[in-house]
Amino acid sequence: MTTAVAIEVRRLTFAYSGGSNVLTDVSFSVSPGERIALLGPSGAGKSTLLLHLNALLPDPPPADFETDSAGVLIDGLPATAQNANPIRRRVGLLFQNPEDQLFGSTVGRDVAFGPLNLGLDAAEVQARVEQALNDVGLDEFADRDTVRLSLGERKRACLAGVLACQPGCLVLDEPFANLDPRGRRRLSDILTLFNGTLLLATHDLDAVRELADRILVLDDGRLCADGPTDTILQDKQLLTQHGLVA
Amino acid sequence: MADPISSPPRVLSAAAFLKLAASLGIVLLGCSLSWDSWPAAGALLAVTFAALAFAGFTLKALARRLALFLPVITLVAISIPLSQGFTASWMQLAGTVIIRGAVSFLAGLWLIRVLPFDSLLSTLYALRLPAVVVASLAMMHRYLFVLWEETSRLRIARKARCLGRQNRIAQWMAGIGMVGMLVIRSLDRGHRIHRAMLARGWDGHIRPWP
Amino acid sequence: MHIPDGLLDTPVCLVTGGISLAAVGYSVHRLKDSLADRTVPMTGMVAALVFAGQMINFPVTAGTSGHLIGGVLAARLLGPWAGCLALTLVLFVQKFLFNDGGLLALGPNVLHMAVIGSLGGYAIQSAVARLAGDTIRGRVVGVVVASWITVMAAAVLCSIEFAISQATNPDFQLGRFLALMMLFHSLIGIGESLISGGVIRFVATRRPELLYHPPASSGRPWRRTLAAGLATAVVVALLLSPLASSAPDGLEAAIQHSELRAAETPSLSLFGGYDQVLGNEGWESWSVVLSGLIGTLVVFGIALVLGRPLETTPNPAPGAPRG
Repeated sequence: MTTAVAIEVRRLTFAYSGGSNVLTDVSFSVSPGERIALLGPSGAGKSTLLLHLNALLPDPPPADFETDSAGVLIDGLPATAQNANPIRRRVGLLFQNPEDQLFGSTVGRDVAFGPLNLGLDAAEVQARVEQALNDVGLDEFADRDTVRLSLGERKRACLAGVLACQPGCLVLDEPFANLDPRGRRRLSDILTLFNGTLLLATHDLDAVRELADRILVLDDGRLCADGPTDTILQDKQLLTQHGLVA
Repeated sequence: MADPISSPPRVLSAAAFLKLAASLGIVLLGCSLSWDSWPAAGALLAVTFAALAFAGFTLKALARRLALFLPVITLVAISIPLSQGFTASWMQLAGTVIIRGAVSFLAGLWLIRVLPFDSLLSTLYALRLPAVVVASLAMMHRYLFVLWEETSRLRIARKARCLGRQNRIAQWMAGIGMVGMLVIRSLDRGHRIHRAMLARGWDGHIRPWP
Repeated sequence: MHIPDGLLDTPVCLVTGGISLAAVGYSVHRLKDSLADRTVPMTGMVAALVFAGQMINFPVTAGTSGHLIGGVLAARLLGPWAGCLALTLVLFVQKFLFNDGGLLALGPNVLHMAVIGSLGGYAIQSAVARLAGDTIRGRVVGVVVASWITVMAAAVLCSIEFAISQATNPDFQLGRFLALMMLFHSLIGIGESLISGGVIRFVATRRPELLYHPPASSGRPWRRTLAAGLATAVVVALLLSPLASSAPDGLEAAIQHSELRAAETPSLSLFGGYDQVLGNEGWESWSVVLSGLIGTLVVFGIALVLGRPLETTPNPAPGAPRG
């Protein structure tokens, strides 16, 4: 194949040990620079799908680009435990709860975590921390205690931690949950400026309209729709059927 | 500054080290005293009180702490005559325990006041405490108050649901359920944190960062 | 369980501190071998959990209440090595953030709660689980039994440490102190086994996959842990004995003194005191018998109740995201 593909998910089926399928036969592919919204009701398997994009779950059956087997490929590289490091350098994942990913003692130290793990030297780490904090509008926050932040600030600090790794692809799990309108606005502005592939799981249709050019609808572990934002958002029947509008 | 995820160079701060050594010295000295050497004990207590006052402790705050501590140490001390019988020397024995305990308690109060937890961790790290222990301690410190708040919420929820008095068995069952919920929630949180660390390239190596 | 400074002699604290340091150091060493990336988040989180869990009060009688100690629980959740480290962190934070417990007494406290509680407790619960079948039920029973035994073992060790501290005091009688400690701690032990067993049952019925599963590759881990626990006990005894004999006059005096009064009170030497106590009719002997008997019966009862068949509804995954 000649066209570059940022994310390729092929017939992905997954169940947690002892449970029923959380994902069933999910397939889609994302071109570099595409901005995608992943919609679906709670419990549809969105978070599980996102974890797969970062090789954080037990390996799916081995994926091979040449043959047509099932699996997840990032920039053509199978997302397996073996490839975990290069995969996680390419894909930055922002989790839903900022409390779980802001484990550093200060904002600056937390943001430095990713660059440090990349093996960069101190000066480069410092530069990345400053750049990332600047990107999210938290320039003055480097020495602030992580426990003394508002929810919006926490989310942005977490995003800075991911951006500091300079991933080519940004994957976000419910970034707008529980944010007040101003916090939402700020986060949305930052994401607009992100220059790369974007995959965003959310319930917030306004943000989808603003940020995404394509929508994937996931319900009960199956991919139910895949199309341009305008087309999908006009399909009231589809949105109602999958609980995306009430 | 200690951090769960990056380690500073192992540089010892002289001031922090001296504070740690001073409180250890006071405790060692205090624990060598007995009831019979009460003048020395009095002098040591006076020094400790002065240090506490110098560190900004008010008499009221001190009294409040001591009011919580003295019953505990008295209970411990009283276990001696309680088991040995109230022999001629029981007062001396119990008194010795109380004096030593009190000196150590006050020295501990002083240390906590003058040496913040972060500086203590840095000091111990400079004294070659393994990085994995320092990182785990800092991680514990980071989430201690999160879990504490979670515990208070569980308590309030429990109170809200049972108006009036519960019998003891119900209280024990509720307590066990609360600890159980805490276990499930915090292990889940631990897994999520672990995942978030992996997503940012964590491989178990704590890297130096000034 | 939390000894303040003053009760034990400085040399005793330093020796027990050395033993604790060695045991915790070895635990950290073992942790480096396995899954280093999990150690920091999970140990830190379980340490915070034990700390918060100790805040929850269990009413005993008017005005008094008990709480979880957590060594056996932590070992059941994390395995022996991380459990031992987690409990050590709890004691450390309690001392240096809240001034709870003694500074020198950190040595014996770590030995009693982290080393005996987690390393010893893990060995015992694994052995029991082997006997009772390594099912969830067997594990609950194992935790119940291990909780009581580790609390009692800590009480006995603490009494011996105190006796050594009092070696120069001719009036001190280990048997009497031991009796009081055992009586008191058999109640604490019952509380601990109720809480730990109850909590493990609670977790096992809802999320069995959260409990620690020993790595399959390591053969018979409990046997090695048991060996390590026994070795620790022997080292403790060996290291403490010179301390005892370093004050031979006092100890001799104590023994002579006891012999003189053998007619009316139980006579005791350091380690042979146990059956001599049993041969007498003083309250000490009765309380030791009573604490042992009540403890065994009650713990058996608790094991029976908490170990009754479990209906597990396994939740799909460790930390499965909801959404």
